[in-house]
This record gives sequence, structure tokens and C-alpha cells, in this order.
Amino acid sequence: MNPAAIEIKNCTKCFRRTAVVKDLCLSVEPGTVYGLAGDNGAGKTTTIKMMLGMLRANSGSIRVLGFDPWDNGVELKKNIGYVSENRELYDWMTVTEIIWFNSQFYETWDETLAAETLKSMELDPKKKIKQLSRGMRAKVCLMLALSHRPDLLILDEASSGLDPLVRREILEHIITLIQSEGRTVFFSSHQIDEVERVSDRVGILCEGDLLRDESLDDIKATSKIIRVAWNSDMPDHTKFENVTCIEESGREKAYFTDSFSDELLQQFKQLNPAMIDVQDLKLEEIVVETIRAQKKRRTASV
Amino acid sequence: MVDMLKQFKAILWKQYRQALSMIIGASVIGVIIAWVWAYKNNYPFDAFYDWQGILGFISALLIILPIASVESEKKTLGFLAAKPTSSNRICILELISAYFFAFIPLIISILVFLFMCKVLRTREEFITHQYSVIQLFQTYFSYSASSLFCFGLFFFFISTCTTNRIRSFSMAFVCFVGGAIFLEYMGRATQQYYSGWIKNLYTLMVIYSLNVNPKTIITLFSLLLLPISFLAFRFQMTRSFYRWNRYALVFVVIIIAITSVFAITIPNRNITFIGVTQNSLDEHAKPLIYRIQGSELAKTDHIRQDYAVRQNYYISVEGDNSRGAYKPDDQRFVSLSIKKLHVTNEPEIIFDKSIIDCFGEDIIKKHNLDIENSVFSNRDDWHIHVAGDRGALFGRMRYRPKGLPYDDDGNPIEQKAPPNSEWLFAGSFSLEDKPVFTPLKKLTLNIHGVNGKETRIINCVEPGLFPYQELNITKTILSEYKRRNKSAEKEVDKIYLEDANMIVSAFSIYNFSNSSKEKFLDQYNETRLYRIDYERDRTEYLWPIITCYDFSKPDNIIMSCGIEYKETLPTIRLRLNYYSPYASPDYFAIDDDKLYYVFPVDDGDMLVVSDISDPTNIREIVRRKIHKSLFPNNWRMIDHNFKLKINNGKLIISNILGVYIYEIQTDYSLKPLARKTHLLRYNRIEDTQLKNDILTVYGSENSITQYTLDSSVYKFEPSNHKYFKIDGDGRFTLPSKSEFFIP
Repeated sequence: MNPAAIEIKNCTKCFRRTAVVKDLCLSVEPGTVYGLAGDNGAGKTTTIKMMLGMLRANSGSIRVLGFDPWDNGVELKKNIGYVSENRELYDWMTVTEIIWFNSQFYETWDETLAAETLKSMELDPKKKIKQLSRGMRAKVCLMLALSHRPDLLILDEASSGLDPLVRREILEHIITLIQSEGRTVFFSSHQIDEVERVSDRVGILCEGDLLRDESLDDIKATSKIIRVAWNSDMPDHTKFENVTCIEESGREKAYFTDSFSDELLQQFKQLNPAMIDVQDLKLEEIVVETIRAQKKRRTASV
Repeated sequence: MVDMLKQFKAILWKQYRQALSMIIGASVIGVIIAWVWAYKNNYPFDAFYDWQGILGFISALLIILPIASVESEKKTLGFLAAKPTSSNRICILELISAYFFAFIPLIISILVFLFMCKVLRTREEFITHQYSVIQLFQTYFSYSASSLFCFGLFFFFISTCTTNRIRSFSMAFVCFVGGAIFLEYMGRATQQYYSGWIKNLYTLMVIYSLNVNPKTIITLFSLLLLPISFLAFRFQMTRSFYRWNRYALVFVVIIIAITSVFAITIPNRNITFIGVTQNSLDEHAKPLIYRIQGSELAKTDHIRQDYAVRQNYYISVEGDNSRGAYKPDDQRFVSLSIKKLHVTNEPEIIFDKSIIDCFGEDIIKKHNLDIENSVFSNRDDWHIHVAGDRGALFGRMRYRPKGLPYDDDGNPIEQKAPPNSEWLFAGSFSLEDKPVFTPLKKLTLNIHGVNGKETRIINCVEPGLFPYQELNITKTILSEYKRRNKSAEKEVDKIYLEDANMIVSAFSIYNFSNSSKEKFLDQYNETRLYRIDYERDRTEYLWPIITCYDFSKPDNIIMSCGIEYKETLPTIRLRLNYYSPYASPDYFAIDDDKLYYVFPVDDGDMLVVSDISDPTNIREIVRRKIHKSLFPNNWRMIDHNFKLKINNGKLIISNILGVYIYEIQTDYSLKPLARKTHLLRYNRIEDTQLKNDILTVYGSENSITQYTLDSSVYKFEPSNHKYFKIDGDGRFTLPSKSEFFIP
């Protein structure tokens, strides 16, 4: 059995007294495209920085490609491609110069691949970075992250602020270049449709808690909205676990559940509703409702 | 290793591209500084040393601060952190490559300066005569590099605390302005109005920042800033202080080694003292302070002078202390007294004879001399001159008729002396356990000046007695001058006469008259005493008059007196102070048959060495310019407390800055040997003596301090003993309990 590409166990990271990541457990198998979704401040970037060895976890353990990022960060980064949200580049360099500069840090730098990617991305090698559009800069960052043929590509909000066309283009590159070679991709994004489009497995992070960590199919299969209407007084739904009422309109109610099953449906039917309807959800809706439900539960408990 | 080289190459290239314009800018500034300092001869030579320090600062500001700031800016922060290399390694490579480029302007500037000085022959005298090019390069470079290193670390640290270079510049600016305000105002106010440790702290800061070698500050700051800036960089890259690895350790060790090497090689702020690491009083010696409060030893100038000659003789004419008008009723005769000073309370009188006994009563009777004349009762009519083991005593008997008429104000009215009514008493004495007094039989007078010299031998009428009219040689000299310099032009003839008149009158004044100028210190060697003074001529120029007493023959004293050419000694620039007891003659020093003379010139002082083996023909041997860079902050050697002295082939210069000791080389160049600065505050140096590598400084308030030139330290228990003892080596020693008096 291959070891997991990313193995995070009970990892907690606090900044001063605020826990940004809480008892995180996560495992990503090699060759998987893992999408980490979550709202702002959920802890996505912190998680990624811990995976890269840029931050140290207060507790728990992290192993990425078999390395401890904190102790073996240099070795680890040789096998990782990383694109950050800020797309940090030296403005005064030309595309060619930044490729050369970047190549000096990698033993496995593939110049042919870099040239091909450059060509396929239609980047002008003579242009300075500061002359490039935001989309072009993102492409340069992606090219730099891919050209040393990393085993793991980590994208931290790499496509934020880009127009749909460029986002799609970048996604296509990820799909073609990585999936074809069976490499692992770990990315965080606000753009849930991106995650849905390419991810094998999805994690949903909210306020440092990993709420879901399942394959995309499982998440979709278990996350449903159940619409129920009654003729008489509405029964109390709270006896159902993992069911959150998200909408109420007259005698009709909509419930979100992240653990849909036939048994749950039977339980609803036993309440003799006038109407019951189960709706499938897009990933974006699932993420939104999952986070919303979590916050609701937290507010209620407080 | 290959990885690291590749990474270093990449970072070096990146920083070269980032800093290219700044490197050019700083280099241009450096070249301008070098050009100005090489060509402008009126700019102090050693100020280039300070400018190199400033250039180090400029280089750090223009090159290191932007380079370091780039990595801290949001646009680039994290680019290198995500690469397969540690933050420590990046920090090391960033720093090394940044310094590599920052050194370029410094090296260019120094090379340009030295090239211009050497090849284009500007400021040639420094490079050819005083310092080698390599030595100067090392001097300038080590200081500027240290300055760059220190400020570079500071800016590196500042840059890691901000997120863009404008903020870095602002923060650095605020820090410097704040520091300057603190030093200039707060500190000064603190020093004035407060006391305690705050005052001491400020004093320390000022001393270390302004007066003393800057290497201490640079070293301390560098060693302090290094780990701080390193940690700050790491924190910025990884938000963590913890990651520490072997690279960082090696780096820190290397930097500490480099810093230490710089610290060692930075010479003192004063470049003259390159190489003065041994025997430097400031570095090694601890002062031995011993005060002789209330002692008779340093009471008067004469005593101090005699002390300096023989260390423990006190020679005086004692008796009536009256001055001014003749007092016919006073019958008390003055006497010659020679006392030997001991560590005990009272000096031992080894010679005490009435003046009349010294010369013999017979001559009074034989020549019918007036026993009531003031010369026998007033000690002010007598003059003592001492050099080495011998001395001379002169007394002038003036014509003072009895019943002298007085004017309305009560002053005596001068009357023409009748023939054979004015006499000169002259005798010599030896300084030993039993001094011998010998009345003179001959006086040899030499007068020399611009237009030749005249010699006259005067025989006594009786041993010790000379008719004063014989000594008045003005007429003879003038007629000789007139004869020899017969000129068609009346005006020139008049000038000659005036010059001759000036010399002769000076001669008379110095030897046989009372004058305030007697307070001038004399210079002497074993057998000769030299006195140097100035006369103003018709054009208000000051002419040095040098008088020499030769005591080598006990019964024939040779006195020589004359002037030197104005061109030789441009005395017009001397700042004379006739009212100071230690005035202008201190510009002179005598060592055997050499006369050393210092006068100020444009950018320093000129040392003139003359051969005085023939006192009537003083011949200049060589002159050496002592640039003002010899002294810290371009302080001129000659200040109002300046004194020149030569002991055992070593030139001792004392001024307000302290004591500087040079070894006189065979070519009369000066080799710095040692210096002692920061002497006791408010304690003016009155005299110095160097013997057996022990420097004795006689200060005001009767204090005497000893310093050793070697590295040994003499421990002296503090005490209030009134007297001290000097052993054979010249060191102070405590007298035994029975010998000294404890108040």
C-alpha cells in the first residue's frame, strides 16, 4: 500500500490564543486531486503553509510525500510545486529571466517542459513580469510550479481574481499536465465549481474545523435538501441528527442534511407529510449549506 | 554544494540587477569624494578616512537597504521561501551578495584616491614620506568596510521589519534623526543638568562616538545587529524564530571572525598612529598618579626648571626681596644659595655664601665700590643661568648716586653715570655635592645677524668684575656694520643699522637687564643654555633672537646672540603670549647640537631642524611638515598649551589633547611611538619628561603623573604623601615610612 501523499493528524495551529486550525485530520492518497474549500479565514492557507513547512503546527503531525515539512522542508520542496494566492514574482524580471532564476533552485528542472508550457500558455518570454496581466502572471506562476515536474502541486487560491476564461485555462493545464502523469494536486479555492470540476476528493474547512473530507461522489450522494410540506401542524424536526432547517415558508420546510440515507428519508415519510421532495445539490451549494449549518449549530450551542 | 553555488549565482545575479543603478550611484559619489580630497590640498588628508566611513554608510543605504527591502515586500515575499532552500541559506546568500556589491563603490573610491595621490602627484608627501599605498588602502578600506558592515546590518534589520522600501527608508531616517537628537540635545542637557549614571552614560557615548577609535562601536553594533537581523529575516520568511541549522551557525561564526578581523585592523581615527600598537600609552599603560600637594618642589618656575635639569637642585640668590627704589638703610647682603632637594621635608643647603664673599671683599675696596649699592642687597639685580652641571651668576651694579633727586611723583631722576661707576659681576658655579664658585676672567661675546657676525672678548679688571661700559658693544657693532655694508642707497644702510641695533639691544636686555621675558623657559643641553625670544622690527615682523651661553669653561663664558632669517623662521605666524610663563619658547627644543623649531603652516605645522654646534652660525638641516592629520579631528599641534621637548632622541609634544611621543629618525622624519590622551581633566600640562620609557607629566595644580611606555603596569597605592622619590630608572617610588611625612 502506497503511503499517503499528505497525512495530517490532529494538527492544531494557533496564532497567539486564537486557534486557526483545530485538530485537523486529513489524508490525501497519491494521484488524487484534493480540493479544499472553505470561507475566508477558515484556515486553508495556514494548512497549506504548514504543509510546506512555512509554519509550524502547535500540535499534531504532518507528513507530506513522506517528509516532515518542518524538519525536511528543503527536501520536500524539491518535489512540490506551489502557487500562492499573491502570485509573488519579481516585477522587474522578464519571463525568460524568471524561468532561469527559478530553475537554479531545482535539480529536476525540465527546460523542455518549461518551453512547451510557455508556448502552450502563449506567454511572451521577453515581456517583463510587471507588463503582464493578472491572468498571465498566474500562468507564469503555474508554469514555474510545474516545470520541475513535482510530485505534488499545491495551489493556494491560485485562480482568485481571474476571469473565467483564464481560470478554465489554468484548470485545463492542471488536468492535462498532472492527471496524465498521475500526480497529486492539493488546492484550495473559493471557486467551488473549479473544485467540483477537477477534484477527486473534497475537504470543507470552516473556522479551523474540517467539516467534510470525502470523495466528491460521496459528498454529493450524502448532501441533499429535503423539502417537506404538511397539512397540519409541523412536527419538530430536531430529533433528526445532522438535519438543519434552512428554509421555512408557510407549512413547507426545507432541510439540509450532509448524511442523507434511505433511513432518513423513511423517518421523514413516517411523519406523514403532504409532500416530500429530495433535491440533489451542486458542490457549491453543499459547501455553503455545510458551513451555514455549522455556524448555526455553533451559534445555537453558544 | 553544487546546489548552493547555483543558488548563490542566481541570487547574486538577481541582486546585481536590482542594485545596478544604486551601485553606479554610490560609485559616482565615491569617485567625487576621492577626486575632491585628492585635488583639494586645503582639505585635510585624513578627513578622507572619515569620508570613507560615510561612504560605507551611503553604500549600505543605497545598496543593502533596497536589496533587503525587496525580499520583504509583499510582491516578492515568499517567492524564495517556497523554493527548496532554507531561509537561513537565503539570508546568508542575500547578505553576502548584497555586501559584495556594496563594497564596489568603496574600493573604487579608495583606488581612485590613491591613484590620484600617487600617479598625479597630489598630496604626494603623505604617500611617499609617511605612508605606503598598501597601508593607506588597508586603513581606509578597513574603516569604510566596517562602517558598511555595521550600517548594512542595521538596514538589513530595518528592512525585515517593514514591508516596503519606502517604509524602510523612513524608519532608518527616523532612527538616525532620533539618535542625533538624543545625542545632541537630550544627552547634552542630561550631562549639564543631571548627574549619576545618566550623565556617565552620555559621556561614554560622546567619548566613544567622537573622540576615540570607532572600532569599538562598530564591532559592538555589528555583533549585536547580526543575530537580531538574522532572526528578523527568518521571522519574516517563515514566521518563526526556531529553525536554526548549521548554515546559520557557520555563517555567524564567519561573520564574527570577519568582524573581529575588521575590528583589529581598523586603525585609530588618527591615521598617523598606524602601527602604533606596541608601547601605546593609551592602549596599555595605566597612569600612576601622585600628587605633591603643597610641596616646595613645584612652587616656582625656577625650581621647576632646576628640577628638570638636575631633578633635585634649587639655586637662588636670597636676601632682601625689595624691588624698585634704592633703600640706603638696608645693609643686608644677598647670598647665593644652592639647595639639594631630598625626599625629606627640608632641602639640604649645600652652598650658601654672601655675594661679597663669593667675589671677595678685596675688589670692593680696590675699586672703591659702593657697598650700599642695591646689587649687594637686592636679589632682583642678579640672574642665574643653568645648563647641565654648571651655571652662571650675573649681577649688574647700576649707578645710583646718594641723595638722588626725585620727581613730583616720587620716581628717581636718572642721571648720567660717571666713568667706572657701573660694573658687571660674573661668576660660574658647579652643581655637585660641594659646589665650587669661580669668578669669571673672560667673557666672550658673539653677535651674529643677517649681515655677518662680530666677536668681542672682554677681560675682567678683577676676576668676576667687568666694567659695564666694555659690555656695551652697540657702538662697535654698529660701526662695523656700517663699514662692511657701505651701500650707495641710504635707505638700505638705514635698514642694516636698525637690524644691528635690534640685535644688540636684545642682547643687552637678555643678559643684563630685568625683563618680563625672563620668565621664558630656557632650553639646554649638557654644557649650553639657549634662550629664544623675538623682537619686532620696523615692519612689525617678529625675529627670533637666539642666545646661547656656553659653560664648558669655568672662567670664560661664551655668550652668542643673533637673529635668523625671516624666511627661515616665519615668526609672523607665531601667537606670542608674553604674559604666560610658558609661552613661545616652547616651540623650540634643543637636543645636543640640534635645534628643533615648530611653526604653523597652512595645513599643519612645520618642524625645522637646525645645526647649532656653532652658536654663531645656526644652520638649517632639514624641515618636515607635520600635517594636522597627526592629531585627532585635525587639531593643530600648536595650540595654546603646546610644548615641544626632546628627551633621548624622542620628540615629546604636549598640547591640550595630551602627550604625543615621536621617535626622531635618522632622516629627521617622525615615527609615532606613543600617545597619551584624555589626561586628567582641567589639569594643564606644564612639563613632560621621558626617561627609561617612563613618561612623567607635570600638570598644573602640582600634580605629577607617570605612564609607562611598555605594557607593564605599576600598582601604586593611593596616598597623600607629600613627597615622592624617583629611583634610578626614573620611576616614582614610595619613600620608606621614616622618610616621608604623612599629614
